[in-house]
Amino acid sequence: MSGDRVPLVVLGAGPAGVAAAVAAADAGVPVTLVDLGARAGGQYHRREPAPFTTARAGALHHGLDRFSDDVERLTRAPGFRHVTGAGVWGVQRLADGAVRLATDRPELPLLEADAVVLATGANERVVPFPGWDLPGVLTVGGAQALLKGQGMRPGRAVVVAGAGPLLLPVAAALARVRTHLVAVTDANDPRAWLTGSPRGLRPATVKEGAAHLAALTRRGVRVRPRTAAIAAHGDGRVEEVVLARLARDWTPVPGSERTVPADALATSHGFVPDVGLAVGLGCTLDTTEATAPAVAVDTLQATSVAGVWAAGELTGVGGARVAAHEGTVAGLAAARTLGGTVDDTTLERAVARRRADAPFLRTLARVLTVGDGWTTWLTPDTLLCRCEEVTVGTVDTAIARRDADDLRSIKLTTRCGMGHCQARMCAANVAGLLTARTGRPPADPGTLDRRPVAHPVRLGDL
Amino acid sequence: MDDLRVGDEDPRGLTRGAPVDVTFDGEPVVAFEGESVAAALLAADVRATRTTRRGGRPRGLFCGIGACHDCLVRVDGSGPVRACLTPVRDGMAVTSHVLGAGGPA
Repeated sequence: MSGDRVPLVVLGAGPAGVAAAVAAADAGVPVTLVDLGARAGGQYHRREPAPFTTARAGALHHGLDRFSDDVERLTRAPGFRHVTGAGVWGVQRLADGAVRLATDRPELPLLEADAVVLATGANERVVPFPGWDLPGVLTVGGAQALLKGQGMRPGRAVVVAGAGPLLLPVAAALARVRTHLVAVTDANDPRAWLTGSPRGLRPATVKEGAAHLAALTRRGVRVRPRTAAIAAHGDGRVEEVVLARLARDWTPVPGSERTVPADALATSHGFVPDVGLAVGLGCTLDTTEATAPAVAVDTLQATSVAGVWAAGELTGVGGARVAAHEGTVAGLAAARTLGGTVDDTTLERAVARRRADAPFLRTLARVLTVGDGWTTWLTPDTLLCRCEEVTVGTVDTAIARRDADDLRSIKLTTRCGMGHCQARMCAANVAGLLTARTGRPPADPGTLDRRPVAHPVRLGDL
Repeated sequence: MDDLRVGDEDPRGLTRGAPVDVTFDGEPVVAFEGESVAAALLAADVRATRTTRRGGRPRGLFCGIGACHDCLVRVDGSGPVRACLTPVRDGMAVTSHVLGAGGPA
């Protein structure tokens, strides 16, 4: 079987993918942009569906107008094609160096490209706690998708709790549409942003953060630092959330627990790069952070595999602006290889702009941490793998009995990571638990990110 | 603030699609064109959309972006689909995803 052959596929239409597509298109390369969404935007610029209309589309977004201009410009580029609603479930490198993609779009089962820019983003990480599988508990990103994509609140009495860069903007957006926020808590101390080198603080980021805090304050909501939702209770759905103050390492302060009524808990604790398709192509991972393996890239965003570039969160979490900077570099570098018109100055400027993000990324790495103490929130019957319903107790037994120090053993003995989500939800937590129990990172970081079939497909599509 | 659908408070000035008739396990559900099955069910106060295979525990919308597969339902007798990625259609019959009724999940 062979499919359509194109010069360049950009996989993912978020900030990184669109920046890459624009850069390559400007260099005269026909771009095929492939994405799961019905419209460009990714998760950051998630848009309402076509039957909805808005008078002021950008009002709940940051920087949407400029992004929309870019998308508009792309649609006029010669040879540009936007494949929407396409889940890419398989990747394969052909003998001549081209990349073949398998999609779940019946009219485009296979697509071959001379070069690929991977911009597959990241998944949210939610650390487990008793009751995190109850309906009504959802990710912070899920709450954002409901609000931005559907104009819907996640509940009538909502707790927003967790850590990471999404927490504050989503809590603020919920406050802006007058959601009843029972509590907003950050497991870290947001004041950590203000310590350290001022070079690591972008004025735009500080301004954004201040605007979010002001929106919450106007609605009478205070963000509680060093506080977490450590349990959820309810009969078939969330009815109560247990909040606790935390030590610096996220261990609950004894006696600080407080139970609040809520019908929804939006929670997550950061992001994990979505490296599945990159692993499928044989790209080398950077496993410095065992809980968040990222695609290793050079200063031109080239991966270890010729013809494959990567940009955005899958190369390390840095937010939309950094992702766009990386996308531009990747798009230019890929276009140059494909014979596009890219002058040295343009490329050097793009590389320099990305290099200038380094102090900000150091701040992010310092501020957005997951404390080891989350493992003390667990009980033996807390689910670690939601899909296969594998409990912490089962995994603990597997670690102890087999003296396991690797993810593969845990996967094969407990089925952890073998369900529908293919470890997208549990990989970081399994790696984190193993590290906590054995005192060292797993021997095989990234193993749970191997997904020969990247997401479940019907047999009829194969 | 009983309705989970955001009204005039939405700073975007959001207008929904036309109302459509949908059912969940036979009960009528109010929905609007463009909404996902997951959002329409949430607004109808349906939180659990299936039970798990082993523990028989209730599950519903979790990641909201198609990654976790917790929100699997059936539409018009289909195999399991993700409610968060499936738009409603007029006349759609959504059923909770139960093991034994057409394959594992």
